[in-house]
Amino acid sequence: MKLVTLTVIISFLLDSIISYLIPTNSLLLPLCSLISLIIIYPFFHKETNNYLIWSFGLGLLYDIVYTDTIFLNAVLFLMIAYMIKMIYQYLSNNVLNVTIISFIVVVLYRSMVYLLLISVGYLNNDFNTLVTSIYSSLLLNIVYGIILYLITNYLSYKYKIDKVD
Amino acid sequence: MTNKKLEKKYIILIILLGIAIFLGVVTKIVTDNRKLNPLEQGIKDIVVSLNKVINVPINYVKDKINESNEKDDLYHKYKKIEQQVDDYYNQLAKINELESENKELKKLLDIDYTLADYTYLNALVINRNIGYWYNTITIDKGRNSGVTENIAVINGDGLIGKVIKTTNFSSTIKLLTSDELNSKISVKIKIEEKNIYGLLTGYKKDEKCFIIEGISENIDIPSGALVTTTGMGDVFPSGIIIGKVRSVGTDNFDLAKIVEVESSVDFNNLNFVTILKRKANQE
Repeated sequence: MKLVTLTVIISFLLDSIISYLIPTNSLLLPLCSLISLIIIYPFFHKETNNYLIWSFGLGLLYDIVYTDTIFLNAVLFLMIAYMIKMIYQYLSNNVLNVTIISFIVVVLYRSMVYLLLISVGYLNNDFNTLVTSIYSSLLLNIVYGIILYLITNYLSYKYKIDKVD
Repeated sequence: MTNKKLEKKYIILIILLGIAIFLGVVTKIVTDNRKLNPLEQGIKDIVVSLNKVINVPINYVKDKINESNEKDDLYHKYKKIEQQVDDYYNQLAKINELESENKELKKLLDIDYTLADYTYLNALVINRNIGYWYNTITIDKGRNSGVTENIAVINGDGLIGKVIKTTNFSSTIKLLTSDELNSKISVKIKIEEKNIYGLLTGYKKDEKCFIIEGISENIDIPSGALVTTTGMGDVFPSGIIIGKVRSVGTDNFDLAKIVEVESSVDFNNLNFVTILKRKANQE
């Protein structure tokens, strides 16, 4: 559980650090907290309820600290965590699959937030903005997902931490 | 069979009701004027303080890089400043005269807020627009430093936005690039000695320019004219730079002008900002 905690905390703080270092119109928009949900799932074995609680908690923290939209990301993170759980029933845990799941998660998260904000009248309907937000987020987060997978995989092997592959 | 159908109908009804309630809650929580509850404020303060500590070494490295870049240019800057110093005392005398003149005119016209009525509070940006859609930044000054909601935020280049949420040690700034904010600001375009008044109506993200409407068709507006705030309304004092006129067109009916204004601020790379706090006697 220490590795999971460390992964989540580092990813959460990285969201802020990267946003501070990189211009907001760049092609490297961070969603590190979201990507950490993909990486930590295999460490929960069959305790999927715990995994969902962690996802909800991380989303809630993201809401409070970064977006001031209490419960919005908590619910979205929970839904995405559930989807990750479903995907892992069919895919094994390896670099290629982490890349594929990262891609799906980024596209899904950006689209879900966009659709929600449009439906409540917060945003005007502009499909180009959605496309821009998606392609600006893909590169950095997929690379982050791969790096995080390799590091956690190495550490779990080194310290004999159980994980489902 | 009938029971099963009825059950299915109930489930669909419950799901639809759930979605409706969720959308209702989302509508409430994304609004800018929602007050943060004490728990939110406490957690946000702790994490922002942590972020501030983490940013110290990052800022140190950033500063060192900037410093080495600026060293090459130091001699030219020194010469330029030397020339400016010669003119300083003349300008100081002029400012004193203008200040007293300004005070008298304000009394006569009963104007409340201009830039002279504000104190400046510098703040460091902690994170920039993480939520992507909300056009906000978080800074390291909050209520403990005297920051309150609905006050203007600027930087050396011009107007940035306004404070929408505060905690004890941090504040959230809504950027001027956000549609909810920039559609309500009264601005003036300075043409020689005349001021032409209009309204900001939006921001074109792809072209990085603001739109001004409400200007009569028969007024000539040259490119490069300076656009500033008028001071009408409670939030933005008069005279803060928005940008310069880039191009002028007309609306679909050829009745009014549509002016595109190139922003003077780089909204994608904000590191330091200045909060305009009203002086104590103005509050």
